[in-house]
Amino acid sequence: MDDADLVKAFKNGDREAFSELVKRHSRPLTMMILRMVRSEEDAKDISQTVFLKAFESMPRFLMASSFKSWLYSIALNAVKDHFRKRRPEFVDDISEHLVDSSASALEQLETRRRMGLIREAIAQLPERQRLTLQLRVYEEMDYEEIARLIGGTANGARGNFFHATRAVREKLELHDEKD
Amino acid sequence: MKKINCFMAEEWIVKALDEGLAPEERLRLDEHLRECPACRRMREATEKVIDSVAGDVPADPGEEFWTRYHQSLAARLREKHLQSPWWSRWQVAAAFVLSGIVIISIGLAHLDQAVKDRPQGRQVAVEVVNELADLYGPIQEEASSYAASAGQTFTLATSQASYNGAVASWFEVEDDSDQLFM
Repeated sequence: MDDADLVKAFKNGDREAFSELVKRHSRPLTMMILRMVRSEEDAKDISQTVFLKAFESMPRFLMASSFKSWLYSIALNAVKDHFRKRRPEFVDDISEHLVDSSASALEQLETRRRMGLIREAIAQLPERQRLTLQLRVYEEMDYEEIARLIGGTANGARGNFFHATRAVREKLELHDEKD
Repeated sequence: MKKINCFMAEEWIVKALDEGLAPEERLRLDEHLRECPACRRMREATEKVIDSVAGDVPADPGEEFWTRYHQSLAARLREKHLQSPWWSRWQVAAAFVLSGIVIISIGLAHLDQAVKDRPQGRQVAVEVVNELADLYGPIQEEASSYAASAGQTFTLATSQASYNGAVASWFEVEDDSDQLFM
């Protein structure tokens, strides 16, 4: 059964169909949210809220888009709400697997410093640029898909990606000049 | 072959690292990079940024996390399910009320631009719009970026939601500082 069949089954009263949709989409959806909010507890809470909203709204879901697109658009609105209540913060939890352990202590320190600066720069981006960069790089979505999810056109999303990478690069360059 | 300038090169460097360039564009960019050390440095820096962002992903939280996730979601869904016989009527009624609030909020936002508490009205409008998007799927939006002085850019987004023949349209302007005006 594909997602559309499960949605129809749920609308016809089969509650198990919703459990199957949760089973299919909960991990990738929660991981996408986690990559954006950088907190496991927040990601869990937002992801569950998304499924609860989907559960409530499904009877009126007209299936004009795929279930996955619809679910992810709810998730992005939930992430936007989360950041409206709490501005994105730089999270200093650069884990060991991101740093080459065979490198010298100085090189490891430099890698951590650069990673930190990049995270800080991303956290300071305007919302559309930040979301576009994250969806493009982390989720490997094409620009049509990004435009469908966050609004606007594919070319607008390309522009947001360009401005986001420029802003992060310029922030790093500015920091390097100070050093 | 027509030469490109540094502005065009910057755009094509990002495009080359992202979606890729057409063969002719690739040749023109390569020619520019051979002659321009500043753009070569920019390409290297941009590549490092994209690679660093792509590499900085949190690890999977582990099975214990997923077990807790599914247990608590199941409990929350059971609670919703018990409420389900009556919530649906309330949501239909709420949708009409919310549509009214959207129109009033947008009107207030336009009228009260100089008033200090305007952001509060905008927040209500944003939440209502999100609620409508959650109920009726993605809202139609168009956005365009405009360059302003001192390297600032503005994004103008026009949006539209419709339900049962009723249509609500509005626009948002967002600047580089993430300041949103509605």
